[in-house]
Amino acid sequence: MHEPRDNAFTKYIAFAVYLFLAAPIIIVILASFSPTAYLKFPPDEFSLKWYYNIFNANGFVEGFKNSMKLAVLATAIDIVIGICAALCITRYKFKGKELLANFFTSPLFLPSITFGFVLLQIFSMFTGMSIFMKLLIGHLVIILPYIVRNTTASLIGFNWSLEEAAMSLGATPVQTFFKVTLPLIKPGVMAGALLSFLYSLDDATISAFLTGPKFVTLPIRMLTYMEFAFDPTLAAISTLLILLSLVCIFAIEKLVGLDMFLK
Amino acid sequence: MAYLELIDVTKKFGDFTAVNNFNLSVNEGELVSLLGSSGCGKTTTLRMIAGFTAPTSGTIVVGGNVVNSLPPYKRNVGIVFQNYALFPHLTIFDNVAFGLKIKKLPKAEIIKRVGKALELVKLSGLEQRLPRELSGGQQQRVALARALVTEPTVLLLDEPLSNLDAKLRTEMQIEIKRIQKETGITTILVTHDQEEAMSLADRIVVMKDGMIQQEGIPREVFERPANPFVADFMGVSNFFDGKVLNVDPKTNEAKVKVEEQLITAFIGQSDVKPGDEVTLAIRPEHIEVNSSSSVCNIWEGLVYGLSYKGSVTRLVVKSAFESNLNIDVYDSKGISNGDTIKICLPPEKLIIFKK
Repeated sequence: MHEPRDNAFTKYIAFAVYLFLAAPIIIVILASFSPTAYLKFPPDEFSLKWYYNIFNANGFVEGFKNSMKLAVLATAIDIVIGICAALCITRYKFKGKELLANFFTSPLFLPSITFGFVLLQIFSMFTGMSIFMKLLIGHLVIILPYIVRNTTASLIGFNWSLEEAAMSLGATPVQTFFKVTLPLIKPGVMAGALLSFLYSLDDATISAFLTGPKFVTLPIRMLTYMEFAFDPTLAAISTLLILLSLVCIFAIEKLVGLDMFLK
Repeated sequence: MAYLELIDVTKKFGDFTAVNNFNLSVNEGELVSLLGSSGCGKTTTLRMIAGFTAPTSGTIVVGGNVVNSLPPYKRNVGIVFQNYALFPHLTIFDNVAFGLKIKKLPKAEIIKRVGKALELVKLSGLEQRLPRELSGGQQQRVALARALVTEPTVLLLDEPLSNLDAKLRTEMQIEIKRIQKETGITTILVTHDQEEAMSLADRIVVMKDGMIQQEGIPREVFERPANPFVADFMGVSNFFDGKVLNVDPKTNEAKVKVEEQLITAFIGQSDVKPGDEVTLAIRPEHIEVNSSSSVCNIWEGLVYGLSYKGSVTRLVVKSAFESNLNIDVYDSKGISNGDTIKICLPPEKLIIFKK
């Protein structure tokens, strides 16, 4: 057996890295419970007043609803598009396959600020389009790579004989997909969907270009709030968002396992 | 009456012809083996019967119906893959029940038929296991049960035993033969292993470059290969190119000149004439060593290599011929590298191929 390396130096390094990653989050969480409008460390009192403020201040709940609507819809649509794309680039051999694979992941490499600006330019040509529609299209593009990449990863080395076996047993291509292919790639799809969902929920760059008074997402609302007030309300929202992420991750872990992230 | 028929079937992939004008008819209940090395078109032929790929031209008939344009899920063909292709997320029961559930059979009927199928392959009691918890041999049996449970018209076996170890392979050969006879299902077995083909098949079709080299019962193909390729494939490993000097119709023997040496060979059914260019071939186990036979082509040889294989010992012998002889002897006691031995090619064991 290989003994795990037990070395004091690596332990300190690991601890320092964790601290570096976790410290800002811990400070945000502590700040959210502070009764004062500025952060005092260690806090001498505990208060939920900034949490109440989320619901009293204008637009946060509305913004959260909008963000959820956008993230859920964009993720759902991209799951369908992403699976089709991933199946296409893994199953078939054709010219330009690599190019297509890169094309699907290219939004990852394009600075989102550039992409937001380009979208703004393009959408200015379509005057009748609602803000929600513009945001949805923008989000569909920027989150697609996560689903395509994760689904593709779970399809590499996929035993295509399984599909043939199913078909020889009388399953139509659609039945084969839902009974054999999809259950086997589900962890990859779910992992990609989770990343996509969280990215969409959290995006401010693209949304900043496309948003308007009729439809404001939570991150945008937070940015505008910050221009006028700098109190721990944002810390309280951040804390709730951290909680939401954790819940998502635990839910996925329960449903399909998190092995996908560790590969 | 032929049950499965392939008529002038050709399959091209771009410029490459995988299967070339292939004709085969298989009787109901017969087990026919397509035998050949990789790339000979045997798997492509199987895939065309299953419907995974369409022939470029030609007709495939199953049970009197042309199936060319039927998709695989409407053909009712059972198939066992080399890698078993069991659904890893389903239990053994659900794997076997897959086809029956697709057909929406009543639950009681499914349970009954899955039970019977698992009994047939001797795996009762493992219903709730997952495929990965089973050994290779057991997975192979599940694959067989899954293919048979829907009562397909034809069973296709694609190199079903090549992932198993030698002992298990022999065991599964006997099992497959038993199950095939018990169910009486028309079966096509694709393999590159001549032993497997011989022990399982009622009839062997040897293929090369998409074309049939020879078709016949195992004994016929083994003992009277139609050409040097088939002979080589069936384990004949000594070949001599030569020219016929004369033929004696009384003894049915020909004298063949091979590299300044004269070999006497029975010509059998062959119609060789003096002057014909021929290839002589002999199986390694048919060459006699230090024999006292007088009706023999006898040379001296130098043992050049020796490898013990258990039941036989393979000798590589340098003799009067340019290429070394491969000889299998059952008793190699007293023979070692560097020895000079007397080798004898019995005329009746030599196979003669006209060029």
